[in-house]
Amino acid sequence: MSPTGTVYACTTIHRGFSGFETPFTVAWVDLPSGERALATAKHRLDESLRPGDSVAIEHDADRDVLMFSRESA
Amino acid sequence: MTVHVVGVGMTRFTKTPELTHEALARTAIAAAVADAGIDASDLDAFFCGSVFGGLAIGQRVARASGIGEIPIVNLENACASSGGALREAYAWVASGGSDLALVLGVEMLTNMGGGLVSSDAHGASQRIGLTLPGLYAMRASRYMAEHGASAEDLASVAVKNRRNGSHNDKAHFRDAVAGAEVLESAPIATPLTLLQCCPNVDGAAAVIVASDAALRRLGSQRAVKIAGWGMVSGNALDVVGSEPTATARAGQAAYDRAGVGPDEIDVCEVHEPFTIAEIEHIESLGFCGHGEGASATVAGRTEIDGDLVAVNPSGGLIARGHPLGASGAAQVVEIVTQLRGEAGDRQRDGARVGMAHIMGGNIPEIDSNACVVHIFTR
Repeated sequence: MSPTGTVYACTTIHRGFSGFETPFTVAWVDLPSGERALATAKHRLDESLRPGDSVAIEHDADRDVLMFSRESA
Repeated sequence: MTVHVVGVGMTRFTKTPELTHEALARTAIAAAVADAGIDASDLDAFFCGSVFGGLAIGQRVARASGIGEIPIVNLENACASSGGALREAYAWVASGGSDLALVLGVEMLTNMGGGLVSSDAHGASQRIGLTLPGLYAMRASRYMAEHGASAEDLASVAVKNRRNGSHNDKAHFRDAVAGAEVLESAPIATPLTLLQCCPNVDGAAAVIVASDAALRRLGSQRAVKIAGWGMVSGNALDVVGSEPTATARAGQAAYDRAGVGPDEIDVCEVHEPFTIAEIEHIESLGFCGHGEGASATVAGRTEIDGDLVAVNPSGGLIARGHPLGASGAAQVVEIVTQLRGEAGDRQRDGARVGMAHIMGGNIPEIDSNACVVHIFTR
């Protein structure tokens, strides 16, 4: 089971650097450890995401990035 | 020792890829030298701010501008480069090391390919593709959630600044825009749209500062005093939401040194590469309470004739354009022009105390950067 985090702030990026397919959603996520970390959407796009939302967090070892996804009900 | 601004000048900030740093600098320096009523050969120190100007940018432009073999200091502090250069000139003059010093900001962005300015970021932000507009957009999302601000509220900053810029012949954008036009422009990073982002432009701005003795020699009746300054850097561990912000800390230092408070500032140029930045900075500078920046802007309280303070009467970065290292000096040009009462259609009536606030940061943590604030009095 993935640890749960809370979105502190988020945005969907429409104009990105080359090599990044747009649009995609990123967020600062408050982790259970107390850290606030940058994460990217596991499913690339989540335009309805808002600060305060709960998300599941996992680490993508290949890209060395944190990914978030909505917890299933 | 009081340090005085005795001359200002700048190019129009706009897209001029056919020009060079040297040509832009020559125009700005010639205007400032003429404004001060001196010759370039009278200058005895030169502080040059630029981000992408390259090695020995100050020496290169000096040679093209008739400046002699005087001390030249090049300063790169991201967007705060020429704001920081003014602080260095202040220190040299205040300590007796210079009588008549030139501060220049100069930048050519249009020959770099346009589009997004690299944040030069490392670590997680680079790996997830976070852009600078994206960083500010996240800040905006948080502000909207905490304070109930709307996308229309954010856009009101761009509407105000574009209207102000329409009265400034040095601004890139010379036309006003409606809120709907701002919101319907291309999405860049939700909730920020294209017209809420500063345009990349080229330009140069010059400021000449003088000692008491040099001011007496010149006999200038239009001089403006540098009454206080503040400069801080962020903490590398700062993240979004840190308090007090770098702006609050630099602003407080400037207020303390000048012996004035936020309610005494008549006119202020604030670093607003994106609309949300102006809203947060006017709170951090104490012009209104935490969470009140958006509603104060919507209510017109930061317009040129607003009851709080005139914010970005020049049009700011959003209308004037943002040639990174040159913007700090351009802010000083505007504040000095306002305090002299020479700002024409964008004049704040009776402006006596002014402030310039600039931040530079090319690392992911939005508050972890150079922040420079100066307060000026007539």
